[in-house]
Amino acid sequence: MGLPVWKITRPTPVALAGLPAEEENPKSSFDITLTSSTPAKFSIVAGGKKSGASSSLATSWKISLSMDAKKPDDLIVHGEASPDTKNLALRIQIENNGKKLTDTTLWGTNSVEDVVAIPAP
Amino acid sequence: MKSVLLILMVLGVAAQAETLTVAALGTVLADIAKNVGGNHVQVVELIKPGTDPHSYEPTPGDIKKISNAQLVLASGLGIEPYLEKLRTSVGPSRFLIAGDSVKTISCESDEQGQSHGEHEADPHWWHSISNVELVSRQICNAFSAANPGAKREYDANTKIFIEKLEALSKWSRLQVARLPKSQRILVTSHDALGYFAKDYSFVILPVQGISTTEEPSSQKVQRLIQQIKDMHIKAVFAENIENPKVLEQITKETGAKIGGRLYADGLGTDAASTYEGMMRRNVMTIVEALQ
Repeated sequence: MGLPVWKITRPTPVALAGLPAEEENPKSSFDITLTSSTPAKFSIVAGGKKSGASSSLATSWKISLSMDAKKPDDLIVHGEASPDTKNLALRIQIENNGKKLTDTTLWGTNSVEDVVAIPAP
Repeated sequence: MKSVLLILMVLGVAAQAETLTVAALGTVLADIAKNVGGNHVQVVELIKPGTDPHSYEPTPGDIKKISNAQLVLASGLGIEPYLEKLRTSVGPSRFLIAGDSVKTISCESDEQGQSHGEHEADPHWWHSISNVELVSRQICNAFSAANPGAKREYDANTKIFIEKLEALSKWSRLQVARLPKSQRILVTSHDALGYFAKDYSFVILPVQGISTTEEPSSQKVQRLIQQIKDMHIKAVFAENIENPKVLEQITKETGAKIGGRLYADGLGTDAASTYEGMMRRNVMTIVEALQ
C-alpha cells in the first residue's frame, strides 16, 4: 500500500513527550485524610482498584496509599452518611512527605462521590 | 379595551411562536442548537452523522438552505476550509463561529515543522465538555438576540442542557478514574481527541494528523508499531467515518486489539446520535478496552 511520505503528521518526539515511562517510577506514600460534617462510611478507589474502606461510621478517617511518586493515580472518593442526612460535606486532604498536595471538599445530600486528582509532588 | 387586550394577546402569542431557522455546519452544533432552541428553532443539518467534516463541501442545494437560514452555526478553527468563501457569499453577519468562544489547544506541527494551514488551534473543540457549555451559552445569546420573544425559553433550555452536561462531565470523570494513569494512552486513527486527552490526562498516539485527509508515512506507522509493542498497549481505536485499514495492519503486527470505534469528527447514529450519547459511547469504549 503506497503511503505518501510528503504528508506527515505529528512528530514522534512531540507525541511521546508526555508518555509514561516504560519502567515504573518509584513508589511513594500518600497520606489521605477524610473529614465529614456528619458520621459517614468512606471508601477510596485508586487506579481502578478498591484501596481502602472504613469499617464503621466516623467523622474522620485516614489511610496511606503507596502510588507512583511522579504520577499518582486519580482517586474516586465515596462517603455515605445515614439515609436521613440532608447535607454532607466531605473534606479530602492529601499529603506526601509532609507536603500538602490537595485540600478539597465535596458536597452532597446523604452521599458524595467524585474524582480527586492528585498533582505530582 | 377588550379588543386592545385581545390584540396584545395575539401579538404576544405570535412573538412566542416565532421560530428561528438555523443552519448547522456540524452535527454537534446541530444537537446543541436543538437543546438550546427547543420548540423555537428549526435546525437544518447540513452535515449528516457519519459524514467527514474535513472533506465536506457545501453543494448548491446546501448554499440555498444556508441563504434561507437566519443564523448559520460553524465551528471555525479551520475545520470548514470553505467557510470564508461562504461567509462572503452569504453575508458574514449571520454566522456564529463556535471557535470564537471556546478554550482552544494547539495542534502540533508536523515532522518538517509545518503547521496545518493558517489555523493552529485544534478544531475538535467539542471533545471538551466545558467547551460545549461555552458554545451553548454563545448559541443561547445569539438565538435570544435574533428572536427576543423566545429569550426566556432559550435561557431555560440552556440551563437544563448545561445541568445535563455537568452530570455528563462528572460521570466521565468517574469512568476514566477507573483507569490507572499508566494505561491512559490512546492510539487513534487521527488526532482528533486532543481536548479529551487534556481533560482526562491521556496521551495520544495518532496514526494520522489533525485532519483525516492526511496520510501517515510508512516510517511513522513502523515507529508507532514499535511504540505499541514497547509499551504493551492493549488496544487501538478506529473511528466511525474512516477506513481502519492501517489500524488493522497495526493490530496484526503488535497483537493489540481494535478497542472499538470512536466518534471523533461528529455524532453517529442510534445511541451516539446526541452529544451526550456520543460522549458516553466514547468514554465507555475507551475505558473498557484499556482496562
